[in-house]
Amino acid sequence: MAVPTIPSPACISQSANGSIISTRRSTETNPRQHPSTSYRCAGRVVRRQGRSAISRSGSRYLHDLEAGRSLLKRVTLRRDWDSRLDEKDQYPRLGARAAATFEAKPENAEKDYSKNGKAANKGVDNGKDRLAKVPISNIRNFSIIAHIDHGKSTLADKLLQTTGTVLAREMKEQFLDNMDLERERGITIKLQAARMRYVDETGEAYCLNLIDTPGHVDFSYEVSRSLAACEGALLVVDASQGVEAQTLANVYLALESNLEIIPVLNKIDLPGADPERVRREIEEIIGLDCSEAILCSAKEGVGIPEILNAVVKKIPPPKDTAAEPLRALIFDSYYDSYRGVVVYFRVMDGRVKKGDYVQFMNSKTEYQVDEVGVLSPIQMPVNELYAGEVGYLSASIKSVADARVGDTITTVSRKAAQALPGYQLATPMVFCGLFPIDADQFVELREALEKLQLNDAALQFEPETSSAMGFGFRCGFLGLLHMEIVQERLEREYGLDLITTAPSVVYRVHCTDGTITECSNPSALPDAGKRKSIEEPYVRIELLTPKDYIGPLMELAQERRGEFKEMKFITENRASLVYMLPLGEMVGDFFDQLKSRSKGYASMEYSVKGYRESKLVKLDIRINDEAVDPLAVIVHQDKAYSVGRALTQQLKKLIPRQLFKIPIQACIGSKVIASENIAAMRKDVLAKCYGGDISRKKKLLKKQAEGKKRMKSLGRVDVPQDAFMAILRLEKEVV
Amino acid sequence: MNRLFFLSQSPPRILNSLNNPPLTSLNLLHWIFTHPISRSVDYGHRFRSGRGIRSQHAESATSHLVAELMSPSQRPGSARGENLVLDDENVPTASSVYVHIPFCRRRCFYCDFPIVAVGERTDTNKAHMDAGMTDYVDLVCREIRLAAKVNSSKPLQTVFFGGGTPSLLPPPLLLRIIDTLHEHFGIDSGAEISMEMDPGTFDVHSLRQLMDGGLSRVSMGVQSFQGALLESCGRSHGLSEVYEAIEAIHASGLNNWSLDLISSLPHQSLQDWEHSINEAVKASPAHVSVYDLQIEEGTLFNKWYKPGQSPLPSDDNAAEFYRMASAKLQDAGFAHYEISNYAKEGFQCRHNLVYWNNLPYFAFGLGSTSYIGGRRFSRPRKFKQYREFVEQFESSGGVIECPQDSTEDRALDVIMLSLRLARGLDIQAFSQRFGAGLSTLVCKALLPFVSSGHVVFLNADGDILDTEVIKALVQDSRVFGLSRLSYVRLTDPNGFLLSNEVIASIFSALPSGENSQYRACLCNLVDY
Repeated sequence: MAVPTIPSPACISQSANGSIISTRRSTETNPRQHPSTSYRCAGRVVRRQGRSAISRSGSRYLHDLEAGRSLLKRVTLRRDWDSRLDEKDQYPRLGARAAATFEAKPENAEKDYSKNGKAANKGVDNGKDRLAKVPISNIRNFSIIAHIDHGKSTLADKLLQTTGTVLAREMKEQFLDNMDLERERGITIKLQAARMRYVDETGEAYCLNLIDTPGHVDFSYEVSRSLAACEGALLVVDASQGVEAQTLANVYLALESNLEIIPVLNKIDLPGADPERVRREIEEIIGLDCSEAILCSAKEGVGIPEILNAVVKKIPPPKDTAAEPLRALIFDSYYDSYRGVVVYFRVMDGRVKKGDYVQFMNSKTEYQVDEVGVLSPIQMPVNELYAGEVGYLSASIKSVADARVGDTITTVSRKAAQALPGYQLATPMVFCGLFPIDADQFVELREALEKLQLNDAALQFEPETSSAMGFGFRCGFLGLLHMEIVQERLEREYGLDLITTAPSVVYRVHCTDGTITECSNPSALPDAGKRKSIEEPYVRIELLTPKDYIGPLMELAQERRGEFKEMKFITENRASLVYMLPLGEMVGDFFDQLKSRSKGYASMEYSVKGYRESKLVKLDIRINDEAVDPLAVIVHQDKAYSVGRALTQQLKKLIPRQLFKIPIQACIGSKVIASENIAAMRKDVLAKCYGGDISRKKKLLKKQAEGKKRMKSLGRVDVPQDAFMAILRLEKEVV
Repeated sequence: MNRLFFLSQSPPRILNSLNNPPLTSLNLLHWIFTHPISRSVDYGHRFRSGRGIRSQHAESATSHLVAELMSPSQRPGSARGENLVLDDENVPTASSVYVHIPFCRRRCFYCDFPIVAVGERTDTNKAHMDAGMTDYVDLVCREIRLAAKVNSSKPLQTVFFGGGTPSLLPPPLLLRIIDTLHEHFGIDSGAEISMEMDPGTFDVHSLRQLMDGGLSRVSMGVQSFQGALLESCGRSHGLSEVYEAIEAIHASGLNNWSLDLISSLPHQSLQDWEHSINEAVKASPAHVSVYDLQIEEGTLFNKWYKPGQSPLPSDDNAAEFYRMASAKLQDAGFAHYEISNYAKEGFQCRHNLVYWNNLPYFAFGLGSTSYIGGRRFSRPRKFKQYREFVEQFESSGGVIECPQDSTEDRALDVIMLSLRLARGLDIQAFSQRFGAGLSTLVCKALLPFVSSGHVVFLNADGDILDTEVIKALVQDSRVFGLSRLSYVRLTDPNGFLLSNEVIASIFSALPSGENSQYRACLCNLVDY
């Protein structure tokens, strides 16, 4: 299928001195077109050819994938940097000040500058002093909450430009060197925080830390940690689109963290903008006072100074607890093959400097700090960070599992009494089997997973063997997006051809002997005789939709065994639907359906609400009287017949004729509930050899033999690889 | 030991081949097949000592050979147990020639052969056409002369004129080629000289003329007995020409002739097909070829139709056509001796048997493929390039740059070709040539087809073995088990119908890749 998600070169823009800012095609993109939607059901096999061309931009691709729902900002470096730079470098040249970045400029010089009245240049010029220390009372830590395509990235981009954090042609050379090196190492850089310097009208200098948040529910824990590192948040809402489901979820998270929220209505330059309506929506749905909401257009640069002023004025400064024992909250980390894990953190109390022995309080590991610095947004080493500041450190940490998001850093010599609250171990919710198509790639797959795990503590995997697919891994993910991201990275960055089995959730099986086992693999489900009951995870799902699509969406939720909870109209035209839905019903094509049935207008958010008992059965597919494990599914009793019928019918179409007549059956236990037959193969003969020229015929036979070697066996039946892939896809669609 | 045996014998010589009956030559083919080490053989001697008196009559002689080819039990025991290794130097000498005559009046819609469409012969274009054909025959004769000079050869046993439409060539030109072959290679007196002929391109006089020049067999491309079907596949003749041609053959007194049909034509019904077979039987040929229509790339049919989809018959119907042909022709006394070929006793096409027994042969003319010295070489398919090839062939003094087949390829060739024959694959000969290990792999790959009824194994007595017995024998880790298997063949018609599937399954079960790896594997397998 066409891959609509390969972004145009304009997708990633590069700001001058080191920030990598994604400016997705947000402004041009019709929100209805969710690029990832059509992609989701695509097969996981990506042809090798062409991969080399896009592998470098793999993360870019990913990025766009996320753009369909929300973000995780991981941008790999790209080759067309220079041109991007030239395009973006639209700021006044202020002389070669690269070196000056690392020195604080005397405060008065700055004041002189502002007195000169060059307001336009003032903010930009301040950027070079952004490493300069300011009193804790002048630090502001904030993040931006927005639904996808509401302009978060554009706004962040503009803030960085306006404050001069990102600028200047003269920085290019140094920057590029830096990037080349990193490119060779193949590091992905995350824009997770940016330190900016802002001088207000009175000449008071502030240090603003923008902490970015991933937006997807799979990463809601990460979001909550990012928000916990802030004192305030900008709530960016598209002035024409209004509040979306994701906005809500993140706002609630921000409110839980007691953040000061500043509403910003973005895209007011668009003809369809209706700030008044959206203002009402925010007030009604969220209950925020929007009388002082800032009207802005990040694209046009309208309202940016107002936003900066509001950040300074409204968001409270961090508490001055620099004298207390160190407690720093990790809100992100990534693995660098040279420096070990690089940890992004916010210092809550105390101070940290290079050479300190630090302890990660939850993982109980200790390291000596090699480097401390700030993110602005490239990493810039500094001597020390104190309470309220945001920065990074590296300490030759072996694995991200040692320094997980949410953990607390303290010093060994002067330990904090208590870790910061809110630390959680990631629990995978969705599982699937990953198998290399080419059995030779098994080792490569293991190595790739190990590497990914260094960077992604939430990823779990264990070896699995299947008669049909050979050796592979059963992997656990936080959610569907997480699963897709991992699969994409394995395929694009590590060049693996993978088969993925239909995703499954973790079932809790109560056995007759009183034990409870957890099971994520249908083929490993205990026998019917040994089972007393099965529980499955349920999610609370909230759909926000224009009222025209309420009907189709309710239908969808009903089909998926949804239990209606409530419906309310948030405005005249938009409604919120709340359902309790089995997670298992959501891991298939629910999101695709949601988008297609609402023509792209509906948005959704879900949160796992625990386990409930359901009447679930294991549906076995028997081909030629042999159960085929990878095709087994756990379905609700009431749906077993329709799923069984659909599966057998589709399999009949996909499995090529064999020597014998082949029965295909769907069974619950020993009871056959659906059955089809594949007729025996009748004819496969080459009648003539051409005037003794047997080489052509032999070539055909060799090709046929080659295909046979790559056949996958489903029980006792061999099927060509493409049919096998289609069968596996089928499950995701049918179930 | 075997080599010693050979050394102790006086070196074989070729006796005066003209004095030997045709049977001898066929025996020779067989003998060469089982004794691949010999470069040239005193087949006269072998014949006299090994067999009794042989009829000088070609027909009965051929039939004897055929009987031998068909029934493994009658093979001389001396061929067993000889562990001969065929090395590159010792390939048997070719005694067969294929000559491609590319001229056709028009191109049939299903045809992707290298042909030259010349249109209808008229008074105005006659001279031009003749000049072109003479030119081509000159080229072919030049190639023949040089090939005979640079290759060791002996009197030809089979000559086959294929096309194209060889019967479009004026008889004197065709006879010139035969004369050239005779002059430079020598043609055995009992040799089979076959030629493809199309209805509407010959009459009893031209046929007589050719027969006087040595033609002994005709293969006539009738294709169908429905005028509408002939038209729909672009044949340049109608039904009346078909009957006239049959008349002409009968009038000429030639009885060794083949009638060729194509099944699975577009719009062909089962009734049409039944009628065609009935008419074919009525025409009383000695041989019938039935080709299942293959849609080749680059043909008009490929543009118009998709295999298995209307108006082409479904796979099930095409299979039905095949079954019907097999059943009806066998009822009429034709033996189904190869996937697409049926013959009355003694009338198998000896030239085609050379292909199927993987024996060497010369080839001349546009787009033809020769197999000499273990090298398969295809000539250019375009006239201009073919002329350049001949010129280059001459200027280089007869050198053809072409890699020799690997052992792997030869094994695959033997499997693929011999399974086309009703006789099947000679397991013992295969083991001797390629090793017991490879033989075992082949047999194992065939086991699933035994239980499905597509393949049968025979023991030395020609009895069909029981599935369980075969399993036990094949899985017997010692060579002993294998030695009790004599032949393996496809069943008729079910096995033949799935021949590709069966052969591809064997191919996929065999080790492939680098030649060296292959050999290593062979060695390991052989070293029990």
